[in-house]
Amino acid sequence: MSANGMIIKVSEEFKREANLKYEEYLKLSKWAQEDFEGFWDYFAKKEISWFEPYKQVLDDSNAPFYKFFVGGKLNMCYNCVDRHVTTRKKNRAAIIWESEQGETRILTYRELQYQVNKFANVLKTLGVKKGDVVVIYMPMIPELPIAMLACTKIGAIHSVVFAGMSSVALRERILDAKSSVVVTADGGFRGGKTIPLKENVDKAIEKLKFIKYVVVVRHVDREVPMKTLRDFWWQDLMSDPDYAKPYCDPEPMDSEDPLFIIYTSGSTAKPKGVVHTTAGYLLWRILTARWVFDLKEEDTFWSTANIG
Amino acid sequence: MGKQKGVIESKLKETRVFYPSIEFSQKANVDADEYERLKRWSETDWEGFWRYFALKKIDWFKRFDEVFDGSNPPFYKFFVGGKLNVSYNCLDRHVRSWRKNKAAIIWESESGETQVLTYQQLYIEVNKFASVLRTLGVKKGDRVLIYMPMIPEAAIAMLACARIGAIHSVVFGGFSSEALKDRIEDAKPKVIVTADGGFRNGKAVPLKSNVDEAMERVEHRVSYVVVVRHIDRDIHMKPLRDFWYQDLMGDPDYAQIYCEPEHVDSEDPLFILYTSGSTGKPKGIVHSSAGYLLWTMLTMKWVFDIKDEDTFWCTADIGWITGHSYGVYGPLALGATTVMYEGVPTYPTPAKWWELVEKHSINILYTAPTAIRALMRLGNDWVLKHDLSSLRLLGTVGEPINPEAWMWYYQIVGNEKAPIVDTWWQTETGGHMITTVPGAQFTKPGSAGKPLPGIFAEVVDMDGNPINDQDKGGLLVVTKPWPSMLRGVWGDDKKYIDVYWARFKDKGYYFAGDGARKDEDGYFWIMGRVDDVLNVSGHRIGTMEVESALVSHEYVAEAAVVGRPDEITGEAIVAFVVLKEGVDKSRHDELVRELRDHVGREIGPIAKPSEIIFTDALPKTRSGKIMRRLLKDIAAGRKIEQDISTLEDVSVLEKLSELRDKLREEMNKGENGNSG
Repeated sequence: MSANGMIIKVSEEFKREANLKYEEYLKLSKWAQEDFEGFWDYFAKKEISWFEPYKQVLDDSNAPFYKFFVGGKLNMCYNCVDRHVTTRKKNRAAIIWESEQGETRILTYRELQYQVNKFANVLKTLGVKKGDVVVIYMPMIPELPIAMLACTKIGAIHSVVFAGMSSVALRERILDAKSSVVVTADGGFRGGKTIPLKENVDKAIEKLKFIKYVVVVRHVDREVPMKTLRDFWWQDLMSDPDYAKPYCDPEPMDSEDPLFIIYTSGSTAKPKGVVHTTAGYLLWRILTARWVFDLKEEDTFWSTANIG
Repeated sequence: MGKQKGVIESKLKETRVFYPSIEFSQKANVDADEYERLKRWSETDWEGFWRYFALKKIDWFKRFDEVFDGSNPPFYKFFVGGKLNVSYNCLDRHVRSWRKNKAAIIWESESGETQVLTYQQLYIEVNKFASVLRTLGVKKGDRVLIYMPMIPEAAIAMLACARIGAIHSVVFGGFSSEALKDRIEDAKPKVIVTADGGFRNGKAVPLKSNVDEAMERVEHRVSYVVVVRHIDRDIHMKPLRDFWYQDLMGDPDYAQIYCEPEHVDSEDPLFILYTSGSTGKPKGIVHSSAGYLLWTMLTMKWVFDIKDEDTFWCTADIGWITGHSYGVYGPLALGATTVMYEGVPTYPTPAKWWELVEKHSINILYTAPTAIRALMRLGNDWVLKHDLSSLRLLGTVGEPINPEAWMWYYQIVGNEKAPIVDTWWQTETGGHMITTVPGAQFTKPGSAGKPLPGIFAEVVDMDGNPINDQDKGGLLVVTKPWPSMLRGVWGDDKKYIDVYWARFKDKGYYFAGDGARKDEDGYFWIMGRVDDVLNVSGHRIGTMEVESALVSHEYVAEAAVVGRPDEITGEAIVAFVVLKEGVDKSRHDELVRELRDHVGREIGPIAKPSEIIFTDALPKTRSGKIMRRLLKDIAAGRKIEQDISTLEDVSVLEKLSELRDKLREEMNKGENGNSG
C-alpha cells in the first residue's frame, strides 16, 4: 500500500493473456507522441474496412474544426455487422437481451444484419434519406440498436433520446433535430412497471408539422393511441415484403459525415446536441474495446448503461 | 466363375457427370489429393487410421487401450477401454473457446418465430436438465424415451441423457400411440420426456395424450413423465407421475447449473433408435458412444465440408437417425451452427424452406428425395423468388434420388453452383457410408458415389462373390467393421445376427438389404431394397431404375413400382404414379400408353409396367420412404395384414385399395364384353 492509497496489482495470468501488454503499451505511447499521424494512420487502416481510402490523416487547417481521415469512404453498419457475416462470426451472438422477467432473446450477427437491412429499407420507404435525422425514443430492446444501425446503413443521422426523459425534453430534442421520423415503442418496463413512451411521443410532437411518421414497436402490448396516417406498427412494416426487403446496400459515407447526434445530459445548462463523425468515432470505439476492455472473441461483454 | 445367383440386371444408363467448381475444391476440407491419401491410409493401416482420428477428434477422459476388438464377431468393439462423455464433446469443450457465444441451434417455427441457443446457453440448459433427470432417479444405463416435436428441448433432453450416461430412445413425434406403446414395451424407459403438443401444417398435434393412451396399455411402469409446455393447451397431468418441464427447470434444487458428466465407456450405448420399418416390425438399433461420435464428426467434415462460418440445415426430424447424426451430434460435436425447423416444407406457403435459407443464410442443406420431389411438383417460382446464393452444398438422404429430381435440385435450388452429395447409409450404419466427397470427386445424378475412406463396401452375388460386371447389380455388403456401426438390436442378439450377419456368415459381411451395382468408375448405384427386386421372365430388375425412368417423364412427379405374381412372366410390373400438378388426367389410356412406351425407350421393353395406377399420393413411412411392401399387397389384390404402425397416412392406403378394386372391376367388365 502506498501513502496515497491502495494499488491493486494485476495477476500474472491476466498480464500474460492481455491484448495490450505493458511493453506494447509503452511502445504505443511513445509512437503516438513521436509520430502522431503515423500512429492513427496505422490503426485506421488496420481496424476499419474502407470503401475508399482516405487521402489525409488530419486536416487542422481550420481549427477547431478538425478533420480526420479526410476523403475516406466507409459505412458504420458495414463495419459493425456486414463484414462479420462472411466470417465465422456469422452465427455468433451479437446481442444477448434479457428482460426483468428473465425472458431472453439472442440475435446472431446474421440475424442482426437481416433485421437491420429490413428496417433500413422501411426507413427508405418512409422517405428517410442520407443526412436526415431520425429520433429514436425506445426502451432497452434489440429493436433500438436495429434502428440505430439501420440509420447508419442508409447514412441517416440518429438521435437517440433516453426513454427516461420527459415529453418536454423529447420535444426540445425533436425541435432541434427537425426529424421527420420518430421511432418509439408502446412502452418499456422498468422496476416492474410500464412506462408510457408512445403517449410521451404524442405530447412531444403535438402540432409539429415536420413529423411525417412515427414507428411504434409493439413491446409491452398495451393499448396506445395510434394516429391514423402518421403512426405505424414496427411489426406491420417489418412483415411487409414490399417495404422490408432483406437486402440493403450500405451507403458509402465520408469519414467526416455525421453519424449521430446525442444530447449531453444537461447538468450544466441547456442540453447540447453533440455531433459525432463516422470514421474517427468508429476507430476509437474499436481501439478502446481492445485496449481498455481487453475484449477477446470468447468474451461476453456487458455495459449496463442505457443506449440513450 | 459360373452363373452368379442374385444378380440384378441394369438397363438404365445415366451418363451425365458434374464436377465441383475449382473454387469449391480449393477451399474444400478434403480435396482429391487428401481423399486419395485418406483412402490409401485406411487401406494400408486401418487401425492406425482410426487411432489417429479418434485421438484427434474426441476429448477423452481416459485414452483407449485398443483400437479394435474383433474377437467375438459380430459383436465388434472399437476404442476399447476409453472413457469419454458425448455431451462434454458437444458442449463443454466449446464453451471454453470463442464458440461460447456462437449459435449452436437456430430454431424456427412455421409462424416464423425464432429462437437462438448459443453454446453457452445450450450448455446451461443441458446441465440443468441432466440434474433434473438425476433427481428423477435416472442412472447410467437407464433408458429415457423422448417423444417430442422439433423444438430445442428435444436436443436438450438427448444431450442431458448423454451427460449422465442414460440411453435415450427418441420416438418420432408423428408416431401414433400404438407405435409408441411397442417402443415403450421394448425399451422399458424409466422416464418419458414429451410435450403438450407440437405444430405441424398450421395445426396443433397432441403428444401427451398419445403418451397417456400408450401407457394405459403397457405393463412396464414408467416412473415419471416430463412434459414441455409448448402449444399451451389444457392437458391432463396425472398426479405424482406427470410434471411440467418448465416447473422442474425453474426449481434450483433440481435444476442445478452444473452436472458432472458421467465418464462412460467407449462402447456404452449412447442411444436406441427404432428403424422406420419400411421392411417389417421396428427393431431397436443400439449405437455406441465413441465410435458413433467419431464418425458423425468425420463425415460432417469430409462429406458436408463444414466450416466455422457455415450455417447447416439438416431437415430431418430428430426422431430419425439423420436427425440424430446430422441434426444434433455431428454439428454440435464440431461446434457448428445447426438449424432446427418445426413444421412442414409447404406451410404457410410452399416457399417456407426457401425463406429459411434466405433469412438464416444457410450454406449447406441436407434433405430427402421425397421432399425434393414434393417441392419440385409445386413448380420453380416458389424457389426462384428467394435469394438462395448462400447455398454452397446440397445433400440428399433416405432413398436413392431419381436423376430427374437430382437435376432439379442441382439446377433450380443450387443454381448449378452447389455440388450434391447423395449419401447412402442406414439407421444401422450410424453415419454416411457411400457418398461422393464434394471437393474431391465428380458426381453422377442417381449414383451415391464410392465408399468413404475407412469404409469397405462391395456388390456381391448370393454366395458373396464380387460382381464385376458394371451392367449387373447384386447385394450391397460392408466387408469390414466400422466405428459407427450398430452394436446390436436392443434385447435381441439373435435378431442382430439373423438380419445382418447370417447371410454372409463365413465372410463376415454386413448385409445391408439393398441392391446395388458398381459402374466403370467404381461408383455405386443403389437399386432399391433386395426384397423389392422384380423378377420378370427371369430378369431381375431393381425398382429404382424403373421408377427413375417414370419420373424422368415430364408428367410424372413420383412413382413406385412393385411386382405382382403373373402366371406367364413370373412377376408383372405394377407402377403407382403420382402425376405433376396440372396434368390432364382425363386422357387416362393415352397417358398409360405414353408412360409405358417411355419406360420401354429408357430401359427396354422388359421393364414396361403391365399396369399403371394413377394416385394422388404414395404410402410412405413417416420418414418419407415408400412402403413398397404395402403396394405389393395392393397390386396382388391381397388384404393388408402387415404392420402399418409406421405408415404416415393410412387414408392413402384405403384410397389406393379402392382405386385398384375399381380398375379391376372395369377390366373384368371389358374382358367379359369382348368375349361375349
